[in-house]
Formats: sequence, C-alpha cells, structure tokens
Amino acid sequence: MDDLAMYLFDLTQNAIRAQAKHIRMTLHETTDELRLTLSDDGCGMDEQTLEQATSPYFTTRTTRKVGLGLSMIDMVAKQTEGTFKLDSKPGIGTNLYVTFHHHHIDMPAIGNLGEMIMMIAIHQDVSDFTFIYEKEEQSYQFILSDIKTMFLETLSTYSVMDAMTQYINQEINKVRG
Amino acid sequence: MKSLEDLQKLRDEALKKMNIRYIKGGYRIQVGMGTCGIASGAKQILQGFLKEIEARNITNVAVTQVGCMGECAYEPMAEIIDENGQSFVYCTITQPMITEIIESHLINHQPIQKYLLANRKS
Repeated sequence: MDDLAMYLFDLTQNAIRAQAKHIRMTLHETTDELRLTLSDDGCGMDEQTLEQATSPYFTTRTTRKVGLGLSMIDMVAKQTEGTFKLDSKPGIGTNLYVTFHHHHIDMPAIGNLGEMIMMIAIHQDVSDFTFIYEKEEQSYQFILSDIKTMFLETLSTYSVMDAMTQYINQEINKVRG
Repeated sequence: MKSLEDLQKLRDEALKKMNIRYIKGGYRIQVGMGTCGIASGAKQILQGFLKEIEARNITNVAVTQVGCMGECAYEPMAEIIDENGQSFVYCTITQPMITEIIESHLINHQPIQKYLLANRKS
C-alpha cells in the first residue's frame, strides 16, 4: 500500500462485504490532524470480533487466514501518533474514527482520492456512498445517488470515470488549498 | 480544469455510444479487490479492462469488483465468466496482458491457457 487513498479504499471493501447499504466517509483536515470517520450500516461485529479486529492474524473470511485492512490503518494511525477507535454493534453497523498527524514524517501521502471515490462509486454492490472532505469553512461533498442520477449507466465507462476522477481531485484540492 | 458542463457533455457522448452493455448472455469480468488485490494493483487492472473495452467499443461485457479470491500470492486476478457460465481465472495480470486477454478471449473466444491460475500454479 502506497498511500492513504488505498487504505481507505480497502476499508470500504469491509463495509461492502458487511452488506452495508449506506457508507459515509468524512475526512476533516485541521492544522495538525486529519480525522477520518467511516460509518456503515452493515452487519456489524460482536464484542469478541471487535476485540480481535485489528489483529492481522484474525479474519472472518474463510478464503485466507490473515486480515490486514483494519490492522494496517491502526498501524498508520499509531506511526503518525494519532488515534484509532472502532465502534460496532451487530445488526446496526460499524463506525471507525481515526486521526493522523498529517505533518508527521511517517504520514503516507494522501494519494488519489478521486480515483478511490470513483472505484467505490462504480462498485455494483454500493447503493449509497457519501464522501466529505472538510477544511476550515470549506468542504467538498460527493453524494453517489446524485452522481448516479446525472450519469446513469455511463458512470462505469472509462472516459466518464476518468473525467470524474479529475473533477473530484480538482474540487478536493480547492478545499485543501 | 473540468467543469460540470464538460462532464455533462461527456455523459451525453457516452450514452450515445452505449448500447446494452449489461445484456444477459455476455461476458462478465470480476476483478479481485481484497486487500491483497488492491495492494497488487487491482485498481489499475480494473481501469485497464474498462479502458480497453471502451476503446474497442465492446458491448457485451460487464466489469465488476469482487472480494479476495483466496489466492493472494497470485494477485491481481480477474475471473472471466463466459456466455455459458464457464469460469476462467487469470492471475498476476499486467497491463499488456489485458490487451491480449481482450483480443484472444473476449473477441476471438480463445482463453489464454498460460495465464490461467490453474496452469500457473501447477
């Protein structure tokens, strides 16, 4: 994994696999911190699963014996002297709160957020996805249902996806300054 | 700089070109998008398939994302399911392989045996 966008994309795969109908990702940038909130209304985890969720040697999958998604984001939070908190209730969903110190020497590059958003947007099992980037008084919001209304089935064509990726990155960069 | 007008124009062009991309009986390409796949470059592989399919105006293919396929060491992987429901799992895919797979398998209906997981593992 090279950058934060890849970690975030990987985390949303957990929500998708948990059959979430609604996924909401917020990145809030302050002077020192980048705060990530990722909420879904998927199947959630019981207490025992939650306790083991950040262990790389724990997974609920049967196809392999390791589970790296949450353990890697926990690692990135720790290496930037940030925080990691996971809340989950079976049948209700999961909330993940992570802070990173974005000026920390071990903070990975933020990466291509537009590409990450579009990859989630074209996923056949994602019906509702909201992404928000906030900094000071400014924010950019991506609401998948609005975008789907505008683009219909053309959303998953390469030219539209590529143009949208550029557009989203441009709008996020305006907020980031 | 991309404006909303640019995007709307692009959408209208894509709608004109688009016939019935998701028809029944066509091919389905499933790209493995677990942690292992993402770390191995599955995003670029999925984009590569979409780009090539659009460039060649192939209309009977649906490209979708799936989770870990259980063979992490062989990522990036993509499973092609043909009109008859037969499955072919291609592994350690690179960008040049995408062109070959599309030409040989999707257009000429000849799976490339040497790229299949079953043959690479043995």
